[in-house]
Amino acid sequence: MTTKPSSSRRKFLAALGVGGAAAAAAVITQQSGQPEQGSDKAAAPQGKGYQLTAHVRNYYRTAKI
Amino acid sequence: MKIMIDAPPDNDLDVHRVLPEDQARAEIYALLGNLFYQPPSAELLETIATSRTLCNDGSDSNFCRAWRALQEAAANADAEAVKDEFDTAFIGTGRQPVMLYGSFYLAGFLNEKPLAQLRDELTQMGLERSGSSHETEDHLSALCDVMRFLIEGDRGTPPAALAVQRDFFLRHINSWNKQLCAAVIAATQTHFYKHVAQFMREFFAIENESFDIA
Repeated sequence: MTTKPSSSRRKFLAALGVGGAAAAAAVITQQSGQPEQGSDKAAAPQGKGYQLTAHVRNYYRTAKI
Repeated sequence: MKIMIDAPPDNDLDVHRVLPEDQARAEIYALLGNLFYQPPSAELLETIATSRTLCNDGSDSNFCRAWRALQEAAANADAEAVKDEFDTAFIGTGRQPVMLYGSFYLAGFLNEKPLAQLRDELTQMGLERSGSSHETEDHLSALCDVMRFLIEGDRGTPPAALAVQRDFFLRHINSWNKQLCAAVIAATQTHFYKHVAQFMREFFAIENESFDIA
């Protein structure tokens, strides 16, 4: 089942400065989540408190936080 | 069964595609989760300071003013000083000056009924605490993690319906976050994090309002 996005909601978010730059916004995520090279944190899971059960575990292998 | 939402109007596009606005929301949750889980590295501070990805259209909303103030604070911050601030304010040597756990604000104590209810709910969602995590599920960063997952989904799991996102946000974040923001802003131990809290407060205000528009 799909639902079309609400144009009013999209306009609301865009007007307040949220959105419209997803590709570039990813810079924040990539930087914020990169463990420091050689640090103890480098081997830590990416998630901050949870791990998903098997069917969605891939999420945290790719998550940047 | 999860319900795909926010599919782009063009039927030829992948139904799992996340709209730019929602991608930005997910990344803000990721940033907030990161900032409250560990002190920011010098690289992250620089990234925040130099980012041109939010509020890049001249918007003068409260959210954008808070974002620009955070950027300025990041530009002027020293990573070591921010680490000391984080450790002092959120870890402490005894009781933390500022608690980052929902159950503390909702029940007055840690590990109380709200945490048990949250755990049950996360189990139903297929989520569980990582064995390597020392934080409980009601830690702000964990809750931001969940919101990001609900917004983005992954290859095997589509984004959750806005109604699901809204319900989780209202009950597990919005119900106590204003108190947390006030505590961070009022704390004598915080400097950089006052700006983080102001940015978070404005972002969650937008979340609160936008869910009602959906």
